[in-house]
Amino acid sequence: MNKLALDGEEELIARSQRGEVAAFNQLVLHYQPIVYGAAFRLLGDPDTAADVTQDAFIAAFRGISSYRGGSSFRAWLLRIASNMACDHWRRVRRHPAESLEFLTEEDETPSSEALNALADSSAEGNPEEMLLTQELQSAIQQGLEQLPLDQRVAVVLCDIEGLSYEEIADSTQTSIGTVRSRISRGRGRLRAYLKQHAELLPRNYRLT
Amino acid sequence: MAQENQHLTTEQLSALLDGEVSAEEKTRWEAHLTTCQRCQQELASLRRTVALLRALPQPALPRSFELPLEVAEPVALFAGTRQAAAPTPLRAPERRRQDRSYLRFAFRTLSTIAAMIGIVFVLSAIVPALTRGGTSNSAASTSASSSYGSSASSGQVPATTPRITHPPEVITPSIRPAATPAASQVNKPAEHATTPNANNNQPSTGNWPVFLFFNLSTPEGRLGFGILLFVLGMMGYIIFRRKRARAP
Repeated sequence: MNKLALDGEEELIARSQRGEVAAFNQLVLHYQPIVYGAAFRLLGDPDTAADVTQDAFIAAFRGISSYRGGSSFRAWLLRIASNMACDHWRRVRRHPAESLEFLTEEDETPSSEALNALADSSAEGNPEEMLLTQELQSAIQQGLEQLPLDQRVAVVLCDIEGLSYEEIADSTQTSIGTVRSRISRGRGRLRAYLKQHAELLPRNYRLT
Repeated sequence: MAQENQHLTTEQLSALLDGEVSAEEKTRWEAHLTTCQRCQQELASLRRTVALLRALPQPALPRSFELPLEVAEPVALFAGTRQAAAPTPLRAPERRRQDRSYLRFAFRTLSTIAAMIGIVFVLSAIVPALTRGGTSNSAASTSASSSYGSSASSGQVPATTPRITHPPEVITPSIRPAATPAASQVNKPAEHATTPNANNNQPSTGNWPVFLFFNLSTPEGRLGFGILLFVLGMMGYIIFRRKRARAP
C-alpha cells in the first residue's frame, strides 16, 4: 500500500509548492513510514532515524519547488532521506573500527534464546511472508550496518524500499552499472554475514 | 557456447534476480543456469538473502513527523530574499485570510446592492401609486403588497389598476381577463400588457419579462420582486456581517 502513490498526490504537491503546510503534512502522514523505515535501516538507531526523518521532511518541504515530477515522489523523498542519513553517518560514526568491535561482540552473543525463538517461527512457507524473529531482525540490521555506506544505501533502497536501479542511480547520482555492482556486492556481503548467524535463520534456510 | 559454460558472477545473478538485465543477457544466463548446479545454488542463496531483507518489518514510528505550521518561515528563507524573511512567513495563511475577507466583502456588497435594487423596485411600484392615488395610498400599497404572487384574489387587481400612471382605459382590459383565474394571473398579463404599453410613453415597464413568478410589468410584480430582493439582500448583509465580526 505504501508503495503506491497517494490519491490526489499531485494536487497535494502543488499546494505544498504554494507553501501550504497542511497539504504537505498529508504527504508526510502517507510517506513517513517509508522514510523512517529507510532511515532506520540505514542508521540502525531509532532516535537518530527519527531526527533524520524529521530533518528530511523539513528539507523536502523547503525544496519542494525543485520537485518536478520526473521521478516518483517516493523516490524523491527517499533520495533526500538517504542523503541526510549518509551525512549523519559520516559525521557521527567516523571510526569504522568502533562498529567492527561492536560486530564481533555481537557475534559472540549466545544463541540459545535465538534457537528457542526459532522453534516457534513459521518460516518454512513463503520466505516473503515469513515472520522474522527479533534476533534475526537485529542480525540482519547488524549485517546492513557493517556494509560500506554506498552498498548499504543501494541495498536498502532496492531490497527494502523497492526502488528500481534507475531510481537508485538517480538518488545516488551514479550510473546504473555502479548501482548494480553495489547491490550485488552488498547482498554478497550480507549473505556472508548472515551465514555466520545460520542458527538464527529459519530451518532449511541455508545460504550455502 | 563458451560463455554458457562460464559461471555467472554474483553481480550477474543479482541483476538477474531483479530483472535488471537485457533480454539477450537474460536468455543467455538462464540457459547457463539450467545446466549449472553451482550457479543455481548461488542464485538461490542470493534470493534468500533478498527475501530476508524484504521480510524485515517496517519499524514502528516513534512519533508523527508532520511539520508545525510555523515551518512556513524557513520556506520564505529558502525561497531567496533573506531580508524579506521576516514579513513573508505569514504570507500563506495571511493571504488566505485576506481572500476570505475579500470574499465576505464582495458578498456583503452584493447583498447591499440587491437590497437597494429591491427598494428601487418597491418604490417604482409605490411612487406612481402615491402620486396618483392621493389619500388612499396606504390602502393601495397594502393591497398591492398582498396581491403579488399567485395568492392574489381577483377582487384586488381592479382596485389597484386605476392608480397606475397608465391611462386606465388602456390597461384595464389587459389585466381584467387575466385576473379572474388566479393561476393564470402570472403569465397572461405579460402577453397582453406588451401591446398597450408599447403605445404609451412608458418603455421601462413595457418589455419586462416574467421573472421568478413576478410579472415585472405590473406594479404588484415589481413590488413583490422588490420586497424579495430587499429581504434577501438584508439577510445576506446580516449573515456576512456577522461572520466578519466573529473573525476579527
